[in-house]
Amino acid sequence: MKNLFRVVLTGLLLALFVQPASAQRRVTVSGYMIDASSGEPLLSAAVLEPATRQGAVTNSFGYYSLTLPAGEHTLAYSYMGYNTVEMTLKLERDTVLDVRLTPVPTELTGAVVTATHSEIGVRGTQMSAIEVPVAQIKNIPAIGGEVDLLKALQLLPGVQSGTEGSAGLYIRGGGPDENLLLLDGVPLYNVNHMMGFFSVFDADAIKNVTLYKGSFPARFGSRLSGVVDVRLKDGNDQEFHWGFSVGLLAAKINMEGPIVKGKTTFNLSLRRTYYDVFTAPVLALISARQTGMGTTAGYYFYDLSGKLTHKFSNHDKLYVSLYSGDDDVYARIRESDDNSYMQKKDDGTYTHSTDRSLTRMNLGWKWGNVVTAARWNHIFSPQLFMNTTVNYTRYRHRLTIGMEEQREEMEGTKPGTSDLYYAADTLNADLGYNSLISDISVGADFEYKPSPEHDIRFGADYIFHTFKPSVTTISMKAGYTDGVETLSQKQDTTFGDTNLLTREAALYAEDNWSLTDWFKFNLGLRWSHYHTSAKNYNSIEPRLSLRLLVSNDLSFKASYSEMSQYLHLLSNSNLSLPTDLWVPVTDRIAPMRSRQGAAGLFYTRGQFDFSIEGYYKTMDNVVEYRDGASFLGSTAGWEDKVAMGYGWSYGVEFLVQKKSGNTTGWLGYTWAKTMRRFDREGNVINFGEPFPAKYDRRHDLSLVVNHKINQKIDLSGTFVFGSGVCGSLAMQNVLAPYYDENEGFTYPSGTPYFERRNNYRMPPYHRLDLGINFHKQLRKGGERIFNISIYNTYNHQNPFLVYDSYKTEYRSDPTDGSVSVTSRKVLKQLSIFPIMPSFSWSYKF
Amino acid sequence: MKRLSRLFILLFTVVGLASCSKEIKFNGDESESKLVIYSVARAGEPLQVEVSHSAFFLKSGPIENYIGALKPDEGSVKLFVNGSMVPYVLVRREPQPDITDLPDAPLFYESTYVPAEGDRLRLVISFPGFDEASAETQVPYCTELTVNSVTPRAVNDEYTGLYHYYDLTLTINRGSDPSCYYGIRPYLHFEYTYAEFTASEYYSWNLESDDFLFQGNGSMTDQLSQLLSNDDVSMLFANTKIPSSSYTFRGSFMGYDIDLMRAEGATANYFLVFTTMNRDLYYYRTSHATASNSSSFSIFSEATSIYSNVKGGYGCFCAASSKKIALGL
Repeated sequence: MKNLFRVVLTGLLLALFVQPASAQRRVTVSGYMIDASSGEPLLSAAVLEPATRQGAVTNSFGYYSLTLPAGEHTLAYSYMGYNTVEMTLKLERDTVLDVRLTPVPTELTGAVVTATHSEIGVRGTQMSAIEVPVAQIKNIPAIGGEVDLLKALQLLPGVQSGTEGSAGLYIRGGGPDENLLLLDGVPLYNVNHMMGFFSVFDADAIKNVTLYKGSFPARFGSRLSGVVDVRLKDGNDQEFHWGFSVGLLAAKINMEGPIVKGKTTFNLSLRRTYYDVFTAPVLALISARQTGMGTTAGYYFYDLSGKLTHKFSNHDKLYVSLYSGDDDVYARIRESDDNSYMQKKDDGTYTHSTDRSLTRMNLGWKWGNVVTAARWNHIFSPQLFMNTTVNYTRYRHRLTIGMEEQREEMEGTKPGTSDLYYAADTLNADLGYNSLISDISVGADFEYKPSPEHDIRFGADYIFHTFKPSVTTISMKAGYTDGVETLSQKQDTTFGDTNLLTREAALYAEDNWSLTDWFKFNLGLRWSHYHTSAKNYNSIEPRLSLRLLVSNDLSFKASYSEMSQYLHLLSNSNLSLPTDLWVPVTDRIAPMRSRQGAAGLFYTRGQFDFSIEGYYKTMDNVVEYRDGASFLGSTAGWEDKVAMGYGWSYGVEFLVQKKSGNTTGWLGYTWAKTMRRFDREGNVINFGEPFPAKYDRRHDLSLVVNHKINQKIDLSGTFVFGSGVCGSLAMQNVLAPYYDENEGFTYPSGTPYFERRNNYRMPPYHRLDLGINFHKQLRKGGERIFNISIYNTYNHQNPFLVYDSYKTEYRSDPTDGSVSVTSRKVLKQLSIFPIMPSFSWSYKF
Repeated sequence: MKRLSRLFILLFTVVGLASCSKEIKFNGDESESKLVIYSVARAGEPLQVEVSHSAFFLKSGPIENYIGALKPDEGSVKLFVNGSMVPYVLVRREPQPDITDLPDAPLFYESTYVPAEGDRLRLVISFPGFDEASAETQVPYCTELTVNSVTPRAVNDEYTGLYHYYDLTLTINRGSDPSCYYGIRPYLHFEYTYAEFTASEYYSWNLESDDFLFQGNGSMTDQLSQLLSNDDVSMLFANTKIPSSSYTFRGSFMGYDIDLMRAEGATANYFLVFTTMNRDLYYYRTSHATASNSSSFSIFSEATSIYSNVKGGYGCFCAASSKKIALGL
């Protein structure tokens, strides 16, 4: 490891300080590449000198920098979906040149998965990465009319979904917690709405999405398996635009525009479901009429995102972003009972008795994120760009249950009197369960481009983490009175109310180095440090990726990366719920670490791009719940509920895509295997034997097709197929006696027997979604889009949960008409989402 | 917590209204029933072996019908001690008192051979229609536990007058076998006579200790214990946890006030059962307790595998030795 560190460090220093020998004066052309119609910076757009094939790409803020020898140059500025701009420039000094590109009419806005800029694709060093144009996401059939970013990413090879209802990304054998989900550079901890039906990302507010499955650049860290880098729109700097859409499940509104033209812009989006607005009062009415109970229940979620951008000068820009979103499940039950009756006593008199009771139950279940970020861009020189960030992110989950019971009994000779007997008791009980994780972080990232051969990045960040994994509060108050004596008791208890404070720091440096036209590599190093109250952890993470250009159309790439992660998500292997807990490493729970090697071939021919990649990944110190453990039922600390072990995953990913024409799309296939083993002393699961991870899915196939019939109608369809995920099922019943120290084996009882964890594979998952969009141009430049979608078109019942249950059968005997009742055990499958047609209207002005 | 779990069940029921449930065909390998063996070899006591068979979970019939396929005359049970086979005698079938409608009972085999400490034992059992099952175990060497003192202490709450704390000082010697585990459990033996009847009952309690011996696992010795909320666990710890060759530590348990019981005319005596067990019994003991306790939260709990060291079958063949140490109260 030390030798590797020295090699990497030497390589970086050479890259930084060794310049190719040249007597010619060099000048730099730099600036922003911008969408001419909206003023949005274009990310990963390319500037290229075709004659020499020297070029650069824009960074995450649309800024480019290209250093060339002084003299006359013809440069081509290009970006997928935009007209290429060619300019002949006489460069005698450093030149700032902002370039505006105009969008191409919609022929190329189909399902293009990979942009052909120089870092991702045949010529780039970056492998295992895919840039997903937002326009393509919007073309994928929408559930309830709501396009979803994560559902689109799940259609890519190497990315798997969990069970139905799980929106987490399972990337190359890693769980959802091993992915870094960034919204404008700020991490999000839970991105699921409505059991995974939707994610928190509103496609209308997003400008760009890049997914990294491996070969991670050194600027990314803190997670093992994946990075999803989502960038929000800045807002149109010339004109005010707004739009709204209404679907079966949700409505949203989006506004963007200049506050000061060319200088200050804003972008604001709000989305909310309205299912509860209609169902809650209806449910209350039905409940009152049929049962006499007052019951109301509902569910909704909302997302609010906003961004403010201000340009101080050509060298300084400020961005302020905000996101807030919550899911809220609520139920309120009110039940009352009032009985009055007369009883005849032995002496012939009557006594009147009254029993009254009132019960109120409240349930509240809420989870959500708040994210705020402020970023400042400063250009020190044409070759040196800086971005500094201060941000705050918080994920909170809260479950509250409240109950109030009042009972009153009276017995007297006259109605309403309590001459003989009176008693009343009350009970108030409140149970709360809270979980929270929040970060405050500061960071600085630098990009230095001294020559076309080198693209150097370096930076640092510091994160202040606060964890409150599991806080349970119980409050009870009981009272009793019989008119003579009054008793009351009160108890307030809180478990686990402890803030876990940790710190995380990182330094990194990387260089994307074009050694020759055919050989290019990215060499990086990241050092991270994690501080807990009891222990400090350090990690050196080398990163390497290289590209050998076999021909203009064919390249071979390979990569190696090491990653460390200092957080864990504790998740029940049967279900994925918002109650899954984020916990930090401690002195007992060590950081996770992964090593991943990958290699692949990339080929382009005509309108088609092909790629095939193989990978092997090991993961150390992965965490899972021990046998029998649950987040419920015990006040024991979470550290005692989990065990640490290791895992490994390997697979092959195949992708073919068509990028242009009226019909576009892609076909992705993955074969993969993911295993776990927990055999360390004190951390034994499954008795130390290997077992498949719960999301080990051997085959995964995705087909996405978009077809443009004409300017007014386009069709889309997706088909997915995946092998079943794993679960634990007791396939045998045995007599398992209880062991008593005094008696030995005694009193055997029937017990379900699990041979090993995750021994059962659920039925395969497959689904077909179809969609059609009708476009209509409105007066004054507006547009209306009417969308019809069908989710799960042939109504295949995909498994969410498999369990055993008893089925009662009745058989009648024809001879005597008797009915015999038998009970047999059956295997049952719970499915959540049947065929779901939906429609929506969207208006843009 | 129970209310919380019921509410989760309610929520999932609501989800269920928007979802559907259907019977599906089992898509795995329908594994055949296997022989199930349970036996604990105790030094100084004849070896008993209980044999039954498993049942595929979807087979028709009540769960208890997984014994009837075994006919005593058709099976073969062989016991090997240190490599040599020893004879077994006496096959009997006893009904289980707690399973009143059980048509059959597990087969009990008993050998005249009395295991000794250090014996390596191997069982090989075969019945028509089942794969041959075999298991191996070794009888552990015992170590010494001494009760130095027992001090009753009043319980100052609503249990006053019914329960007492009993504080113990114990000394344990580290055993020669590093793979051994130990269990300590207090029992109360209680006999009383009413009219013509004499009742004899045992009650057991949890022994707890905060001493250095158990550091790192909280106040209970076995970290598994922290997952359990019932009282079905004795103090369990590994031989390797004993920090010195002879270690003195404190423990306490809360049990019935023995003086009160004697005042009522009963015969009551406290004793400790000190068990030296091998790893097989320890794994079985703890995994069975985990499985029993987690079943009430089944959908939210991780599945628990009950330990088995039987090749070709299920069950546990393990070894232990126990001593009863009177507390002299």
